[in-house]
Amino acid sequence: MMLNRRATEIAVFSMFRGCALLVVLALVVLLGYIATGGLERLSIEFLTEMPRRANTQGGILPAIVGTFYLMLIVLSISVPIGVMSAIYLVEYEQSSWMGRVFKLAVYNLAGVPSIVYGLLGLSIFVAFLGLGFSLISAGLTLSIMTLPLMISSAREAIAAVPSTVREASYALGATKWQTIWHHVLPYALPGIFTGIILSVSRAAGETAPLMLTGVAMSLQRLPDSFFDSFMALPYHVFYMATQSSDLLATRPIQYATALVLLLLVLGMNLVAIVLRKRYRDKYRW
Amino acid sequence: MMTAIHTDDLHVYFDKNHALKGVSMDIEMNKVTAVIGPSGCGKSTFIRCINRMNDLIPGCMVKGKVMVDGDDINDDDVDVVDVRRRIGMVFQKPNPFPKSIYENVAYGPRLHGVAEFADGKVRRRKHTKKELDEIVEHSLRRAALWDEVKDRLEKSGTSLSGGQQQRLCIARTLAVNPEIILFDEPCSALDPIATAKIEDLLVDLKKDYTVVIVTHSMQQAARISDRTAFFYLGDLIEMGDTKQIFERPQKELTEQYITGRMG
Amino acid sequence: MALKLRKEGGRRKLRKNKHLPPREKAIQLVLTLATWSSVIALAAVFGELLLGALPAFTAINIIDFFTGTVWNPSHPLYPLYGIVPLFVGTMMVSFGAALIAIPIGLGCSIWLAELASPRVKAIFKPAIEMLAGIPSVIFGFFALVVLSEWIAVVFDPVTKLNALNGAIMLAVMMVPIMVTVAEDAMNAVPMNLREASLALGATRWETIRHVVVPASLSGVVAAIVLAFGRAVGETMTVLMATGNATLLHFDFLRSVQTMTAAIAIDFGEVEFGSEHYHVLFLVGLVLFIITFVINFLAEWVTRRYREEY
Repeated sequence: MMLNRRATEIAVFSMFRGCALLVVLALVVLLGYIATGGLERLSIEFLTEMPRRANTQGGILPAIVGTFYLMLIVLSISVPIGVMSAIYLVEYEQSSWMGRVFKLAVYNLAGVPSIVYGLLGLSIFVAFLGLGFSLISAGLTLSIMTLPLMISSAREAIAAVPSTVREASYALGATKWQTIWHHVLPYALPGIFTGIILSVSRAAGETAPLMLTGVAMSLQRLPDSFFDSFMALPYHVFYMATQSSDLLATRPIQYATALVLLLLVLGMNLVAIVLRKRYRDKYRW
Repeated sequence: MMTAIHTDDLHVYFDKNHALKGVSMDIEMNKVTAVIGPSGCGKSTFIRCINRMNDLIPGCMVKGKVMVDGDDINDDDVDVVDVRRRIGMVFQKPNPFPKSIYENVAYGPRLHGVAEFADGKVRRRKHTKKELDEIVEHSLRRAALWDEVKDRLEKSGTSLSGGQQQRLCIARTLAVNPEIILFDEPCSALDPIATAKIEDLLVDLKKDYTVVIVTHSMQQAARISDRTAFFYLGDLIEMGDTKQIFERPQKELTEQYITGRMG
Repeated sequence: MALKLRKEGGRRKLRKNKHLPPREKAIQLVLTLATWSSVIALAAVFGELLLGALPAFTAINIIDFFTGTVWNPSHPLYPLYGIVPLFVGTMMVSFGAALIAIPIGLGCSIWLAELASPRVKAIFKPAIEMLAGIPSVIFGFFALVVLSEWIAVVFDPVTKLNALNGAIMLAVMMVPIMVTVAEDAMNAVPMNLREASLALGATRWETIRHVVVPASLSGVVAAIVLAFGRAVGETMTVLMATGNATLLHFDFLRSVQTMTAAIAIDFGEVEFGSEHYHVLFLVGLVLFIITFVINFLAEWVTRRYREEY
């Protein structure tokens, strides 16, 4: 029986290792295909020119610019509101009913499908507030979408600050806000930062909400105001791959656009991971 | 007087740290042997060598021999799983599984099955429910816990008090029928009454098992052990009959520790 | 007897909470406003869905909506709004993905939590996080352009954009979510429980199977449920991978359309405020409720069965 138990263990452990290898394989294959398919079209011109001939030639500058504007909107709206809410929830209202209701709401809203947020954006921003199909409608929609993620990661970072730090500050006679500003926030900042980067990169990669709030298929100019129409990288990948005029011929462009988006999002994720590791070692959480 | 465990020039390294330096000693069968010494002297490290729990610590290297029943347990062809069945361990902090009391005790026997002789060979088969029930009751009785839990065997092991949890862990270890039981400071997390119960249990257990107990309490060692080994900074300083160690220590370091003139 | 305080900038009295300096009060007000606006924003999601879907209750036959087996809203004369094909489509790809992702995800989690060396872990964990960070449109693109070709070669289906394509791609997306949550749950099992098991002569696998997994079961189940919820709510991947035919069937090698994809596609051609418009909101409401229930289940399982150490 001993031999049996050993043999079982070896067999089972090999299977598990196989599962892990499978996952790594999937990642490598995915990245590999996008990279090899897109590299040939990737160039400075591709990144800085406007599209020509119904997107079959030229570059994707408006899409890149559009995505950056969207990220900017998300940064300026959901980050301050999210971080402030997180501070309030941890420091001021930790165990009250509002804190608990809020925690539940944030948790559940993080799981809502992105297309539902698209519906929200359509009915509130585009229609009700009359902002029309524009950058600001899409940006606001994305901001609300990333709010739960922003709040939970900021909350986690702030709650992870040991209570001894706060106690020491209060014991010296500091006020609540002084304690937060001088002790809690600096300690939590790396975690908050990581959360910001991850939230914004999530927003940059979303397509469905954009589809319902007015992303354009092809524009010959860059948006000149937030109420203007816009292009965006994720939607461009989708549009080119499913509805462009010559699917086969534009394949390289599709791959290249996907590659640009991938590099952008994964680049941000990598920065966030590295940051978190560096500060985790420094502060040891 | 028979030897249960014989160590020969045992060294343990944790990366660069030389934690145990050339320990050679004999542990006698059916006796309680206490291992004492100040913090960091290597007594836990030593005891964990006997059932090869140090294998679990990355960067740990063991040199030298630990002989049990004529075999060196550190040999490559020795089955460490069987070593651990025959040499049981009770830990400092009671750690019952988050399962029922019955399941806690039945866990070990279920894994190992029942040994049978058939056609001149040893085979192992699964226990019947009746056999398991008997083992569970017997182990709980031997650990002086049966009367307190016999009506609630399905309750979770973690619902018991600290002292009861520790006795549950002892019952669990007894259920796999070891020959040697190692106790790593088993009472340090318990109150005096629970401690007293377990001390009585240890003295009772030596009838059937060889008991090795690591303790930071000299009084405990003096109360319950037959033999005592004194460690200091990784070295075995002195070992002998408990009475002799505490009344007429041979080495100066031992005397310093006993009389409290050391850390 | 009053305490004698050191004179500091002229302040000698002990400050009572009621008389916070104006600055502290102002800051607290700002923070409260920010939090409330978050609450309002989040409440708006549900409220808007309800508002948008409400007209549908009067415009069409609700029973037909929930039981109808034909989804053909763009028919000029007789639009049909049966949600069943869409629901079945969603369930097919989600359950199919779960079937693939659960064993692989579990195997990965156990390997990561119990077996992998720290060096290997340091590479694998970022890899998983990277996989989790890839935008869904990229997965959809890959499924559309590469995976479907492979499926065509192996299965020779009627159409290469089918439910299987979506299920496989979704599985790849589900695994990172599962692994992160399940691994955390297994890591939370204290070391001394494993030691106790090993000290009884159990092998490492027996320890994992009988001690670690049962002790972390609530977390593992929550991981599965959460990942399933994400699969149900996924839009772009299934939109690009499954072919979007709205016929009701149970064949994995034929094209399906999910509820999410239906909303995304139809909105290109729907008229504002029309019957179709409101029905799409109704579909969105159904989706919201389904994912809400799934998330609630995950939370409930975690809380109810969490082991206290």
